[in-house]
Amino acid sequence: MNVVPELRKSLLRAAGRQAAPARARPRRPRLAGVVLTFGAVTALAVVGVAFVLSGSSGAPPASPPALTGAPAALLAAQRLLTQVQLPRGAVAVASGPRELRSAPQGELPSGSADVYRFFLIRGDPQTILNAVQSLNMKLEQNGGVGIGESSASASGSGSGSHPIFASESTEVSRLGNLRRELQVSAVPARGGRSAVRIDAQAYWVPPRPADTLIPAGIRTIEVHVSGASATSISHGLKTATRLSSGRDVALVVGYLNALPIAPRKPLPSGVPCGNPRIQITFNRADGHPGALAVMHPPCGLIDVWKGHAHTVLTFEAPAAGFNAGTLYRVLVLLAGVP
Amino acid sequence: MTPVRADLASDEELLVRSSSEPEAFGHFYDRYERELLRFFLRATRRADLAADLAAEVFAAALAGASGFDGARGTARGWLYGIARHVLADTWERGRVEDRARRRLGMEPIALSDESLERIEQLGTSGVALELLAGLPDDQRDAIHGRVVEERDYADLARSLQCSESVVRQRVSRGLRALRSRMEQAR
Repeated sequence: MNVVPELRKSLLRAAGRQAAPARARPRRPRLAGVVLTFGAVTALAVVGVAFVLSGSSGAPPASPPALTGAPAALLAAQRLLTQVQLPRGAVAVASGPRELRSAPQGELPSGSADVYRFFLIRGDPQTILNAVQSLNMKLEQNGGVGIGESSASASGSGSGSHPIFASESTEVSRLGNLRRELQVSAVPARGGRSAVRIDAQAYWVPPRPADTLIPAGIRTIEVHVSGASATSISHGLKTATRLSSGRDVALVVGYLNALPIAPRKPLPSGVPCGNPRIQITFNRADGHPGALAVMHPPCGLIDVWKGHAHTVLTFEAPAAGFNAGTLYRVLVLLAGVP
Repeated sequence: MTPVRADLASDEELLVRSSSEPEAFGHFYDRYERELLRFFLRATRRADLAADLAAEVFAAALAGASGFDGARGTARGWLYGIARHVLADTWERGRVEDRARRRLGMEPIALSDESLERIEQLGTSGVALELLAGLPDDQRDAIHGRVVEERDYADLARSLQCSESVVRQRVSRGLRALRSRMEQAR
């Protein structure tokens, strides 16, 4: 006996509707993506009425590959692209307008891959971006697309309410050492449609050596902010904070431990990181510091010392992802930034 | 190869089959309905909200079933992953999202009074289970085996390595203690 039999009935009806088209749909060859970082550019055009998930088109779910680095990123990007759902009526095309032909983020870091396709979709760019985000809802595990946080940009036409170019970058759930992003860009096309470019990007984040991680057993965090302007302080920036709640401590430690090591690219000489600087002391239960970190918001870098070992982490996108929400929460905890 | 009967199939298998066999998802729903409703009832203390949240989670699970990959974790863990996200979203937005249901074209469900009552009863048994956890190990194991798993005394005596009369005694003492704790809890 079910507790809510009406819900079971409704779900079965939906499952039936979902199963019917899947059975009726002819199997279509899967599209090969276009890999930007490796220079190999290939595009295939397929005209279709709907963009379907690889699972529903009959492709067997593959186990996580035992690949690392760039090959793993390439495979992850290709798989992500097959999982993206687009609005009904999306038509795959061989190429797009000039505005969409260049990579959305310029040069990607090494160990990353970008696979993309072009489509024509009915609607204005912003509506399409919203629809794509809504279709690729949160399912953060097991191959679901799992949209996390996103950053969007749009440029206005000046004459109408619709932007002439809209782009959205969205972080998808992390898969082991692979950080994945979905980039959707759109410009208006003829006949009330928009030309859309979907980029699936994956970045291989090398595992952090254990000796670079903030150790377990941190109980409190002492924060000192230096170099803050009077204006920032008057707007609520705190110069000294102590965190002792387990949840807050875990959030900050977890955030820092998930960040990648900064690329080995020296900072331009003579350019100081500037102010403010946030010094974070991680204290163990016995009151002794287990690690020390100095965050440089203007550079997007964090120095971490554990004993004599020194590591530089980055919290800047794209290397560290677009996890702006988590960064914001961490900054609010550390410095009360409004 | 003959497929395994749905009621004997693993959760993972049920999810994979859901895309072509609606009833497979029905079996999956049967397995997790109570557990998930109890989870949301504990979080919200409202039967209608618990039902709404469970509906969204099952709809999201149905929509994502074809992408489920058993190599990356259990179906239960996956389902609870969705549940936690839906709950977090609800706290953040102040309302229950219905994106998954809309995407599947599901009509809003009018809950019957009987269904609401049954959900509320899940909350009561949840309290009992919490109280059960506070009992001495031997009494808790005996009650769990007898009341929750509905096993007979002889079977329990074998697995607990004691006589039937000892199992009866543990169950009886445990239930007495539980009753008195529940009265204190009210």
